[in-house]
Amino acid sequence: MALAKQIKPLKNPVSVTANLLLKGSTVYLKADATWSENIADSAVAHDREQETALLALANITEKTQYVVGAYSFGIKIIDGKATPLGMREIIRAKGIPTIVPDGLTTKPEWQNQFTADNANSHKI
Amino acid sequence: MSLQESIKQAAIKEYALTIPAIAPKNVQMYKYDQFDDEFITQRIEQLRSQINRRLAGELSEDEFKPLRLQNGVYLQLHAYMLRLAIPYGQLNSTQMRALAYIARKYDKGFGHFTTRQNIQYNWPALSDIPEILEDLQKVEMHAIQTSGNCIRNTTSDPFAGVAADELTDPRPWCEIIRQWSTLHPEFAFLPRKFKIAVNAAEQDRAAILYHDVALQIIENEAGEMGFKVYVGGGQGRTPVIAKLVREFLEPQYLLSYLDAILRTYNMLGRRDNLYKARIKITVNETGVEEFSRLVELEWNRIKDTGFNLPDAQKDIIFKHFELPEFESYQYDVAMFESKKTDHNGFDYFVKNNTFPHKQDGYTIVSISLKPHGGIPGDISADQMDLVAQLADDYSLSEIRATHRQNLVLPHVKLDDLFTLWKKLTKVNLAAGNIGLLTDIIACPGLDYCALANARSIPIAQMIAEHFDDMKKLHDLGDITLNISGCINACAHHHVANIGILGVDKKGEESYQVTLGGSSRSDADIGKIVGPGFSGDEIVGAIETITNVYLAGRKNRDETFLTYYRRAGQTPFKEALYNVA
Repeated sequence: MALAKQIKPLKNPVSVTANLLLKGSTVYLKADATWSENIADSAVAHDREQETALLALANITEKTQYVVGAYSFGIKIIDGKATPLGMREIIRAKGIPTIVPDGLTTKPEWQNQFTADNANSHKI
Repeated sequence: MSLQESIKQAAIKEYALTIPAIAPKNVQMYKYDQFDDEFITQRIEQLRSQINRRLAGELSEDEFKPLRLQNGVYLQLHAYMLRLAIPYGQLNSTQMRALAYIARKYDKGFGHFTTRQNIQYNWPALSDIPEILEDLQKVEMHAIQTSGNCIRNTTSDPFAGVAADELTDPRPWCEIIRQWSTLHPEFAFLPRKFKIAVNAAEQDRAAILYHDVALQIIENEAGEMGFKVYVGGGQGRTPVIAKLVREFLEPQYLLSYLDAILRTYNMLGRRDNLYKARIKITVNETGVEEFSRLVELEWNRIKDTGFNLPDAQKDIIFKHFELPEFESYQYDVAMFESKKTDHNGFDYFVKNNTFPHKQDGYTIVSISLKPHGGIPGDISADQMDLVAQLADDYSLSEIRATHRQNLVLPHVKLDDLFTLWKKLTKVNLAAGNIGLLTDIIACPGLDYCALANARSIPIAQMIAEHFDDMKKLHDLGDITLNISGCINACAHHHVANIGILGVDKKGEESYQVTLGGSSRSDADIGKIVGPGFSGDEIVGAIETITNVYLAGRKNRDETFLTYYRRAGQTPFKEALYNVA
């Protein structure tokens, strides 16, 4: 009798991210093979097999010139939703730096985002 | 269209009208001829075609990446980044206005001056880049040689041509190197990037000894001008001070000698390992004597038959850099001194942000892009426009960018200095901190950069906010502090008196401190003082380091670096880590 295939667990669950080819902004792979700017929408892999399947899916959409540079990264599940591990992915998920650039005051849409997300954030 | 969007579109329209097709007449800088213009047009069309082919799926990312990089286009954490070339850091006011226009129209209203005297934008869309390059072409700028494994933008002293302490103007030589190296067919695919710097002053203000080739312009005993040539300097994960390979090179042989260096590197340089591909590793592995011998061998073979710049062409290039007519006048010393007495901020500004000009009655003014709590090197579009206007009003329309991420107005009359300072104060550009602890070099770090391991900008801001007392900063005197977000060392942390390197320590940002580096003529590489500090601890560590210096120095004339060289690391280690 053949042994059941051993599925390697992951240390942390993972999601798959990439950058939009045209704009360069950060996006996350959803279970339906579309991409979202919100990490909470991302599909989550809990083992190597699922991770490989997600990356294969990303690879297919990468060939349609919609995204570039897909890779998987560690997440944790909070309130049932994916949230990033590590500062690099936390910053990518925000879609903006943690500091307020000098020209920002001329961009009200950014200012609101910063006020909500990054109050005093440069105090690490 | 929202009201906000209407206002933005109206502003873009208005600014579009303010970009004249030609540079201001009186600026002493290289001006494009028909060849240059046609060449840039072709280059933009090539990139446009490459982008279209990429978007159509005819080019893969692996095929497209080296092509976009050769045009200064990177893909960073949040967006594409476009780096523009500012040859040897020289700009005219028209070009600065164009940079403001691009920041407003295609980016988010600001730009970032880099440690290679260039500027980069953090948010352009890939499809907008050909249009940006067309706008740049109107003011004789481009993005060639700002990335890729080619000869990069040549850098120099930001005070070149006007500093009282220089032997001669290095800019014509930089321009000659620029023209020789631009898309040089033999050197378009080197093992790794290649950087050349030229200095002609007593002080090294361009960190030349950390370049792949450093050219120091000197005079020999006969009073003839030539180049002292160093090879193999660099920073990154293996910091190395360039080594002397030729005591004196006659200027007519500059290009054939550079050809010989590049050929030797192109033959010997490693292509099997990215981290061992720079010429500093080639020189180290080959040995400087053997490397020099091979260069001399090749040079002797080509020096009389290879390409050396014809005198007629050299004269044409030199003519672009002839000094303008300066006004001869007697400046009002009494008035100037009284303004310093009445205005502390102006006094600091004069002490720190000015440098002697060749011409009596004039001074070189540095504009600090390190305002209190600001982001080092960042400048808004409005500030760019104001700097352009101030350059027109007070500096013969000329501006320079420095490798310390500041700007320079090179020709300011002393009689105009107070008015200029007052105008700078209105837009938060009057910080009198050039050369002081808060004149921090910082890379974009993990806030923007795909290579970074830790954030740099917030650390710079916290340090600047902590050390906000000008009296204390002055007491500390001449100190350099640089912060890199990864070992690639874009912010030159190895060569700062106090260097900070951000690293990833088990998923947390950690900051390693080095002491004793110098990027000047007394070049030295900083040494790690001990275990790293967290983001919460790093400001306290810098405070401790400065307190050790203040307590231990012989007197105020003993600078931080001099004290460190005398006392060594021991007192710093004892204070930082409580070790006896």
